[in-house]
Amino acid sequence: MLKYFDPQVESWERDYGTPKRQSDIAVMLTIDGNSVTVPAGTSVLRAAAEIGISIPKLCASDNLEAFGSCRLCVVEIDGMRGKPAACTTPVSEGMVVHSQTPGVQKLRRNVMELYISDHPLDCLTCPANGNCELQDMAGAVGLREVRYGFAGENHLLADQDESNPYFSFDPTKCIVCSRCVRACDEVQGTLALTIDGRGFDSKVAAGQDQPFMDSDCVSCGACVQACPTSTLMEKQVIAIGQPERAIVTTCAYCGVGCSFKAEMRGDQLVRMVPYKGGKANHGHSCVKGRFAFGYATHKDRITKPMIRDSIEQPWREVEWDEAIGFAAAKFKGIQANYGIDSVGGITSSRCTNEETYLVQKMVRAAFHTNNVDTCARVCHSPTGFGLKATLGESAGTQTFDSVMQADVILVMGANPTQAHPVFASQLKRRLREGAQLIVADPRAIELVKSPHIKAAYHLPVRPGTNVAFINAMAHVAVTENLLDEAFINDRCSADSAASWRAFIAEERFSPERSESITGIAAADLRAAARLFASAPNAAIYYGLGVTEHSQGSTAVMGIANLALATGNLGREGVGVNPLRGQNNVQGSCDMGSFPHELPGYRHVSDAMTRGLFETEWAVQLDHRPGLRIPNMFDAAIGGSFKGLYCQGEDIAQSDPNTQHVEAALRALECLIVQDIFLNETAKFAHVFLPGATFLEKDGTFTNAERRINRVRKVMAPLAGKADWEVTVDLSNALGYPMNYTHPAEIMDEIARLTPTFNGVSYARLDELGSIQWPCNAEHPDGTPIMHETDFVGALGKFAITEYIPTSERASRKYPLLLTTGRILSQYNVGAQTRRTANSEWHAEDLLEIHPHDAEERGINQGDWVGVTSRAGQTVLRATITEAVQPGVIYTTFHHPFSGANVVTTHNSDWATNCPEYKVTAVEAVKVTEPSEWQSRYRQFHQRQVQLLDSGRQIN
Amino acid sequence: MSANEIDRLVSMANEIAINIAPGKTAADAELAVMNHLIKFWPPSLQEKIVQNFEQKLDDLQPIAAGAVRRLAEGVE
Repeated sequence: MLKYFDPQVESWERDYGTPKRQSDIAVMLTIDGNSVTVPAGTSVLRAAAEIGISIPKLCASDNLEAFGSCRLCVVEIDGMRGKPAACTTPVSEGMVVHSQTPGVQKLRRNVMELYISDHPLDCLTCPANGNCELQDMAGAVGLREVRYGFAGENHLLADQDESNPYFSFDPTKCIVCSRCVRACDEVQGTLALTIDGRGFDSKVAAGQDQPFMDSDCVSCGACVQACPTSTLMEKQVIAIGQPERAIVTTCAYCGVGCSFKAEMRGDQLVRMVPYKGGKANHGHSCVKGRFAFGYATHKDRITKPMIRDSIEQPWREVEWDEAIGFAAAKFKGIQANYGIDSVGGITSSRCTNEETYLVQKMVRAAFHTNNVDTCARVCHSPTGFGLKATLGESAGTQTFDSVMQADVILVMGANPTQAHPVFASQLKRRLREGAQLIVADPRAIELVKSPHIKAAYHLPVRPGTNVAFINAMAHVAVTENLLDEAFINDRCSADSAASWRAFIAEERFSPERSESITGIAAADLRAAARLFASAPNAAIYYGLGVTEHSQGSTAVMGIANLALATGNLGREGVGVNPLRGQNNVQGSCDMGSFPHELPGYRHVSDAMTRGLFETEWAVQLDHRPGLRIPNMFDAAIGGSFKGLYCQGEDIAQSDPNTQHVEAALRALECLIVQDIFLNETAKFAHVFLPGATFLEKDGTFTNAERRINRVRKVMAPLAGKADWEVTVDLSNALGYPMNYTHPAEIMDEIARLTPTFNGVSYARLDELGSIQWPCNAEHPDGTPIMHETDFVGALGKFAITEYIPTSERASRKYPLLLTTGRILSQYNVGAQTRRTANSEWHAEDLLEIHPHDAEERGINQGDWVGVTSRAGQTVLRATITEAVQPGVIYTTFHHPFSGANVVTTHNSDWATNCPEYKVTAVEAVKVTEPSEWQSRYRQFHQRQVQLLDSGRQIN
Repeated sequence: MSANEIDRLVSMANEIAINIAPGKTAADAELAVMNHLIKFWPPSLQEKIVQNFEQKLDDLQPIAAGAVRRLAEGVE
């Protein structure tokens, strides 16, 4: 079937054959009598595609460099001998190309004939049927016969590899075009695939010719997408068949915010394919977004509202009206008995902007309190505080693409290959192009050394000493005259610059004096600081390894200081880039989820802003800040806080000091949980309101680069309502009317009330694809790079960042420091990913311990180890590795039974109370049984599952 | 409000003070700490630390004590 094609518009559905080139030189050539002008360096294949001429091709794809192996794209060029491949031939001025001559036609048929002589002719039963490039090309070249027959030597009996849970590898269908190998190299940057053997024996092999699951493959899906046949094929497509339509939406995992095509058959999601038009991911994906969506239809989904009077009672399934009425009555009763401020809400960083906005609106307008907070409290609240104090805005300064112009990249307390994998692939691409990398992390993360990647410096900073480290970096820049004086003079407040320079130049901040604090060799730190400060473009990327500390906010300000001092702000290739954890944690902060801020980071005490909201919402608002999450827990235990509405958040697993959180939840008279599963928090709940996944609703997510992306409904909500509809119902039942009929109306309200969102609407989002805020009259298409001319109308401010050691330090009783983190295959509390085959990669949380510490304690690989802090004890299985330094142990928190947060303490950031997850003094001892908490947890879990099941049976 | 909770508030106020104070005069630091408490602490916590001020005076770091005193007096 011929497809309509408008050459004026770059189509994300079209494969142009080779990558787009940037050049100031335009080259004009003629193809089949049509003249075309393209940037120098463009291939003939792409030039033809840009005017709608599809030269047959198999090994070429516009996300991979040209390879020239399939010989299908041969053309004739006047004045050139033979028949060159269009993919590897760059255009030249005045070139005259003929894409369809008898000579090339014959040659292409001959090539196809050879391919097909070693290919199964099972098209009708092949999973790629209907979407096979080999089949298309056979048609395009007019293949009519295979003169060689099929009896010769072939690969038709090769063994299939079914080891990966999400895709199969069927080498009988392979044409050895190397697209998968190149996708793994160039797009993903893992280099797990290769072509093994030579000549006719050449074959695609994973790792050392291993099954995919045993190799280094990270299951990102780039190879599957690249495959032009059904050699690498999604098992879902094999099981269901080819999809019939696609809807572009945004992934609900991690802060990268990848765009995907949800490919559907009826209301069944067949597969998620990364969308080339997505500006955060440019058609790439990771194992979570690409494959781990099965949780959406998992049998554990709760699709009926449930209520109960106490957590010892069975759940009772009820209709929506009854559940909403029950919840509203409970909250009204609590407020009547204990006061207005005895209730509060937690907004979700996994829900949409519109939903988050509505929850905070309901808390402020219907509950009449500012007791609203969000999970950013426990991750990036120090970013909000620290960046606002220095740069004037609580957000990252760049696009992800900006990294492609960075010369030196400092990654501090972040683990992009695990937690932000699609951005990590782009970062690695830049490193392969020659940018230099500095990693500041207690652990030797994958970026420190992996295939074709080697950090110039790994600075193994001791947990808890980030501020001493970042100060030492700045000290070198200041004392060795590596500052950008012009930037400081023009763009920064002179007073703050002068006092900061005097402060940071003090000898006590030198790398040599800091060495005993940070554990970083002074020579390395000095060299790294010189490298950073001397680079034309130096960029800083950081994560929770910076924020989740008692001095998280100070460390963020230290990072901003360094960027200001070296003039690395306000253009491409530089900047301060917080890597946000959850899909919409940026959005939940933007939407006014903090108890002290209305949407757009405006303090509740600001009468003018409050007036705007009071007029629009027709309600009086409290001018004083409300309770933050840890305050809510303390107040619950203290008896003054009695009712909590928690949407899409699992505080019982994710928040520190689990036993304290559990005590707080038990003390509540009414806990309303809105979620897709009976998560750990819901086991303490009295009202369960079934949530909807991102596939079941419309809305927007905002990623770590402030990019607002559309989330589009691809299937009906399993429980009948999207989350925003539930909030609307609850608000109405509480007596505060809400009358939205579509999330677009909520976005319109946000845009009316928030200066940085003034220009945002669903119509504009559809038009532009995505928008990076601020988007308003000054920046109608959004703002990719922040602070180009000023810092939100002001000068940049240097902050005095004194290093204050955390009170959580190693002692004789607790000689080790525990730090926590994430792994690629699992997401946050794991509620979603644990209900997918991703658990095949990470079935349990392990305790990483250095061989030296393990030997001292008689701990062997796989032993059960009791980890005890002053907060509690848990038991994990040990894995012995030099990735951690002696004295430091590490684990993840994806499985509730692991109880990683039973051990973490209530220590927190001085400014924001963001918990100090990254430093807990512990002792580790070999044990033979689970901890007391784990035994209690198991009993409680079983009891709650019984109460769920028995309640359901009654109905 | 338990003794534990009050101790927690005292230690939070102390941490705010020792992080805010560097580079400032004592008076400026006290003011900055007080403003931080007003800006970020819910009124219930502000009241609790004020109510327990005399009793916890010895545990409060000097700048924190000054800030809480200013908070109590409503003096800027």
